[in-house]
Amino acid sequence: MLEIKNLSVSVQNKTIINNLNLKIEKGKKVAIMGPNGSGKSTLSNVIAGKQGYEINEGQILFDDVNIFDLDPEERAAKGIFLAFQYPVEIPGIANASFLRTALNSVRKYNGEKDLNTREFLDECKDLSKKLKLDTSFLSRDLNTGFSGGEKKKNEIFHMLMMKPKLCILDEIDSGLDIDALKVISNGLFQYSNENNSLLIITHYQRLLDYIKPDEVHIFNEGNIVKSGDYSLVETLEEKGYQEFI
Amino acid sequence: MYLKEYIEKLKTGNFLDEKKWLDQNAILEILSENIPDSKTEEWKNFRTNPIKGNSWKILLEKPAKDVYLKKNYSKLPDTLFFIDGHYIQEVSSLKKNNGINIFSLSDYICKNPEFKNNLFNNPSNYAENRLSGIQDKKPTYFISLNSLLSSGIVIEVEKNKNIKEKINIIHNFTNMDSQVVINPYIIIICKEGSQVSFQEISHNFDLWNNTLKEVFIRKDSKLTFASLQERISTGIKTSAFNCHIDENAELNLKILNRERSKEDIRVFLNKENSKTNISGIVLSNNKDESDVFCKVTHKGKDSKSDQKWRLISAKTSKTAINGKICVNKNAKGSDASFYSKSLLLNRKATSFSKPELEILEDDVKCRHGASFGEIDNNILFFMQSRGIKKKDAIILLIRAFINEIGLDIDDNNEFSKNMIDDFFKQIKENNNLYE
Ligand SMILES: Nc1ncnc2c1ncn2[C@@H]1O[C@H](COP(=O)(O)OP(=O)(O)OP(=O)(O)O)[C@@H](O)[C@H]1O
Ligand SMILES: [Mg+2]
Repeated sequence: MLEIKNLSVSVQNKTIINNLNLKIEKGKKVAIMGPNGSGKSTLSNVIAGKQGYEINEGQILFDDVNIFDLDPEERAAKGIFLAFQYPVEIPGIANASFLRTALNSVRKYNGEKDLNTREFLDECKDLSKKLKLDTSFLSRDLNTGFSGGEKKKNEIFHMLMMKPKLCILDEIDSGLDIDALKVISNGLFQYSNENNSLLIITHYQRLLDYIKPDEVHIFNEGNIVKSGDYSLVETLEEKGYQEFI
Repeated sequence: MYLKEYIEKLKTGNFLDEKKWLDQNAILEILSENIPDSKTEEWKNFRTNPIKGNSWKILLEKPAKDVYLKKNYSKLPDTLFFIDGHYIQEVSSLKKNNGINIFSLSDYICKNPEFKNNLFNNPSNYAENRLSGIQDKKPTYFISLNSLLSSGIVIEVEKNKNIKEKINIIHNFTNMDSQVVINPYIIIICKEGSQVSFQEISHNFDLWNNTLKEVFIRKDSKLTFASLQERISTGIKTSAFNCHIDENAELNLKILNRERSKEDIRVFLNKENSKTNISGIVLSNNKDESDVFCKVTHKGKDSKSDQKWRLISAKTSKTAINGKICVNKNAKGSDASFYSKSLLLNRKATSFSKPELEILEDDVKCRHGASFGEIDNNILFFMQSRGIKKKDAIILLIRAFINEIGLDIDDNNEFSKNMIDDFFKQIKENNNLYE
């Protein structure tokens, strides 16, 4: 699904991603853990197509196609979704209407016709029930005045509505209470299947306990310093990053 | 006829008979040819050299019948049509006996001779004692010109009438000569206890449109007035709106202004509990400017005013708002606010906002503020990463920015929507809509 080859990225001449190689196979759940400032969000942003980074070297292939020349919206249309570490507030645009615009825009790109509004709203309501998100969040302005946890839930709500192939979850679990964490993990677990992939960036074991990633990578200074399976999480929990960096 | 020739005639005392009541000062003002420029504080954000540098022609007569009758005008109900600044009854569709009466100003003054004392064609009534104490007479030129050249039309709303239908005022232009100055002059009198809503729509034009509206809202009456300007391609607009509000009376003013225009709004809260809400959207594109001067004067006790403005500058254009609040001595309990937000779509676009307060009474509440911003790149990336095209995302954000300002009088209003959509269409043509 996703293949990153020799990727080096810098901002203002400071190298943030340093000759990174990472492959995420279809159907896999991959976790990245790493200390603050190691470049995890930068990597997510670069995959999603954010401007303002200097790509010094390397390639990012999505379904075997280099995506560097694609705008973020084109990457989204191809099935890449980024759940933001810090979701933005947009006053004046209602959550559901934003989502409908997003979905229709992706559908248009893929040559499909617009959503049926009725069905869309029904699906929204169903899903918000599952996520224990009050339906009032559909009509409220996007993330405006949402609590930290509600914003995170709303990211998952968007993701599950958009049904992407590659889900990049940048610290989706930070700021969530125990119940919300369960709800979200459940949602992710149920969504995950042999046709999609999850890239989970986190600092905590708890989310990974629910999701059971296939691979775990430890990230430091813009590169992977150790890879392994789920047991790596436990080692990390015991010994801290010191062991690896 | 050229304006210059007309002015020459005036010098010999040879002006139109029906203007005899016009204050001598107004004529002197025109003779002075004192067109304000950037040296006048209130005009520093609007270039008047295209006005100064041109030899303008005037139209003293209505357009010929065959010119306007062969045009297809929309069959809107309750509509007053103005063509090249003249009210044309034949194509208007105001129902008889619905509580609104239309007069020519000269007829109205024949019947109500004292009314002319209310009018502002006397430039000294416009002169501003600026904060610095300097008497600034210059902005009166345009108003004097208008009242001198236009015959004027009075729209009178009868006492205690609550008019449910929205009344449209539509300005169409047939004159293709860009050298012409036209002078629509509309006077609205809402008599005691009346209620009415107007929606004024001005179509695109290539000439100089110098408009004047004078509005009187009598005791216990309420006026909603939406003034919507279509894009102005090559024309110039200078516009003045003057409103006097009596006891317990209210003005809701909604404005959509475009580039190449200068708007001068003065609202006087004359009596106890006079009230006004002003909300305006100012859109400017290309290298043009759109400038608004809006002054609210609190004279009555417990009078209230609220101003909300949204300004958007695209390309290398400029938007400007000078919002002035004056609270006179004895206007106790007055409550006034002014807020503006400017959005710049380009590094080279500019916007000015200048709230000014002149408070001569202690027991008052005043709030004001102005903010300026660009589109937030993080928000843009968020929207794009959800699949929304960059240009669409920008448009959505601009829409959200102006959504707080409602221009519509009733629910199904195509005009304001179409006009704003037209601006979006226009700015979408820019290759680098947002840099
Ligand atoms: N636009 C930028 N300008 C300057 N420095 C930047 C920019 N973006 C990222 N950086 C720097 O790059 C480094 C990596 O940041 P990044 O946000 O990717 O870290 P992270 O691994 O996600 O950290 P955290 O766990 O705290 O979220 C940090 O030192 C950060 O300050
Ligand atoms: Mg981060």
